[in-house]
Amino acid sequence: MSKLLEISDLKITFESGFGKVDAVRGVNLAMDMGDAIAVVGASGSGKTVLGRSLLGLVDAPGIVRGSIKFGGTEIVGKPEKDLRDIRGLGIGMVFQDALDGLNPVYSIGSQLSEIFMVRLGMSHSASKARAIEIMEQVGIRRAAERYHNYPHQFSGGMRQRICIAMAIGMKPKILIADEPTTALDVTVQAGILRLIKTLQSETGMGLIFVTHDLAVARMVSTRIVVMYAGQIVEEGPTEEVFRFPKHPYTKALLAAHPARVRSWRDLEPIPEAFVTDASSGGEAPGHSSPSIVVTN
Amino acid sequence: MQSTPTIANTRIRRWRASPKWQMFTSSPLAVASACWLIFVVILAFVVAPLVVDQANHQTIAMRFYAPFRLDKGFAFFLGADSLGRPIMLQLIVGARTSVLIAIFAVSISAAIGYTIGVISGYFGGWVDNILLRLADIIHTVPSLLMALVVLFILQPSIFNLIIVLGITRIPVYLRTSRTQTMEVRERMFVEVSKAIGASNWRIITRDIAPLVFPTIRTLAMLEVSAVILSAASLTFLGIGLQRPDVDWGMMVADGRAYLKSTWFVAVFPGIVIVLTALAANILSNWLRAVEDPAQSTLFFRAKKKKEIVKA
Repeated sequence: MSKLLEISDLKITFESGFGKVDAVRGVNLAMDMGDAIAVVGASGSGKTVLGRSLLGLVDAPGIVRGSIKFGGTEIVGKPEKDLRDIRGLGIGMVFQDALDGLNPVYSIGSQLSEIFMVRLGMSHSASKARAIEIMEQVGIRRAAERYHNYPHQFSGGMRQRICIAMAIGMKPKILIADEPTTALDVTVQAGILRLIKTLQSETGMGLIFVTHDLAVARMVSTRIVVMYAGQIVEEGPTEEVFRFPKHPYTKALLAAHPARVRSWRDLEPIPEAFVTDASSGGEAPGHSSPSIVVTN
Repeated sequence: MQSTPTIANTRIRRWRASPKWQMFTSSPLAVASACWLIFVVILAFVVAPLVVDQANHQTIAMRFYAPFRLDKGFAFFLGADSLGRPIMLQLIVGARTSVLIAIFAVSISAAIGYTIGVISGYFGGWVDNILLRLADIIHTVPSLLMALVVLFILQPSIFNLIIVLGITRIPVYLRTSRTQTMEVRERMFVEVSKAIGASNWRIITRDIAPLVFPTIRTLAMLEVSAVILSAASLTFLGIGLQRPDVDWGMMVADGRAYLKSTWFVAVFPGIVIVLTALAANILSNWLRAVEDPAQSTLFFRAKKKKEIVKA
């Protein structure tokens, strides 16, 4: 039986005049409805670009190779016109930068209801009702009153909630959340995470949660994928990975987490060898080379 | 019978209660600008046809009749020009041509430049490159020279003047809208729209064009004066308007020769050009501020504070 989403041997390369950068180097991943996968890794490990590639949103200098199968159809190399059917309706995405995620010149309500009108073919009044309903669902109080508000009248957390509402409003089968709480403060973060979690269990959609925060990953996911230098170095049920990390990089990542130690003196930075930056050099013996390889 | 005025009344009342109208009445500069522009348009299209004959009537005896005197009638209040034509009436008749040229030339170039700029800025690639090089070519050929050639081949007329001025000013809008489009294109909400599955057309018309539009409108208002003056310089070179047609620029050009002895022949039309351009600018700035939701609340709040102080 084929899975809802199957990624096999996915490679993403950015080619510019100055050389080639391999962002993702051979990723295999499969998921079904109801799965909650957290993709963790340091910055530059290819998490975000992996998420974007699922929607065909990797822009011009980026080249995607390999195969991404969503419900049996191949996404890689699909023309823009056909991709539109998958975007939003099949796979929804929530981005990191919520503060700029809404068009400043339209009211919140009109942006939400426009989606329902255009994408789901709802009538004007039905889409308005649906917009208010979904605003309430993501925890905006007095939604009917705030329907006519503009984005600048909303706080960052509320804007991120609206972005989430936009993504889940079309009931996608998979929701990709690309560090949705990074730009927000910790108090808001918990609310957003709980919201995503409840929505996921209610709708039964698949969740791919991209983050560099291990505590967050532990909270939302059932399965965890550790990415390093564009490759998946470890994969398994969340608790298992946390308790018995196998790969040295996972161990290093866990050791660098602030919640595990009593004083900051006990914190161990990620070893130099694992820093995915070409300029810092150094390579862990027996491990793959750093993700940024400059060839001329 | 009674229902119609009642509906109209409630409509007017509702309009007066709307925040935009209140913001408008609370900013005296905007009201003054709008009044001036309306005044000019009324002069141009209502009053001008009535006074054309009188305006073009030459009385050599009245040559350089000094302004601010009423003994020769109200028409000569602003003096008379080198051929004894009343300057005030000439201004009124000239308003019609100037307003026509300004409105049409500016809207032609703004519409074309805005459309092409947004589309080419959004898609980029080779189409963008070709369009940009074309704009460069139009930009590097001196617009006056191009206008000269075109108007020399075609007959000089108001219509041709509009077309020539419209085309030569396209690159100004094209570049501005293209640059701003490229900036807006990278904003997050465009990405969000893409991820939701919006078509390119929808992203252009809903996400990008409305954010570029205020800039283009402000630019267009600035260009009003530039176009009036270019029309004037073409007229000055003898390939723009031909008498008895007259516009403000032509009046300035005529008066230039006598600037030392009789200042008013050139100064009055000059003042009218400046005032009109200024009014257009102030109004467009005000519109831009009001239409930006973040800024418009500032306007509103400032007014409320004043009321509190009064109370």
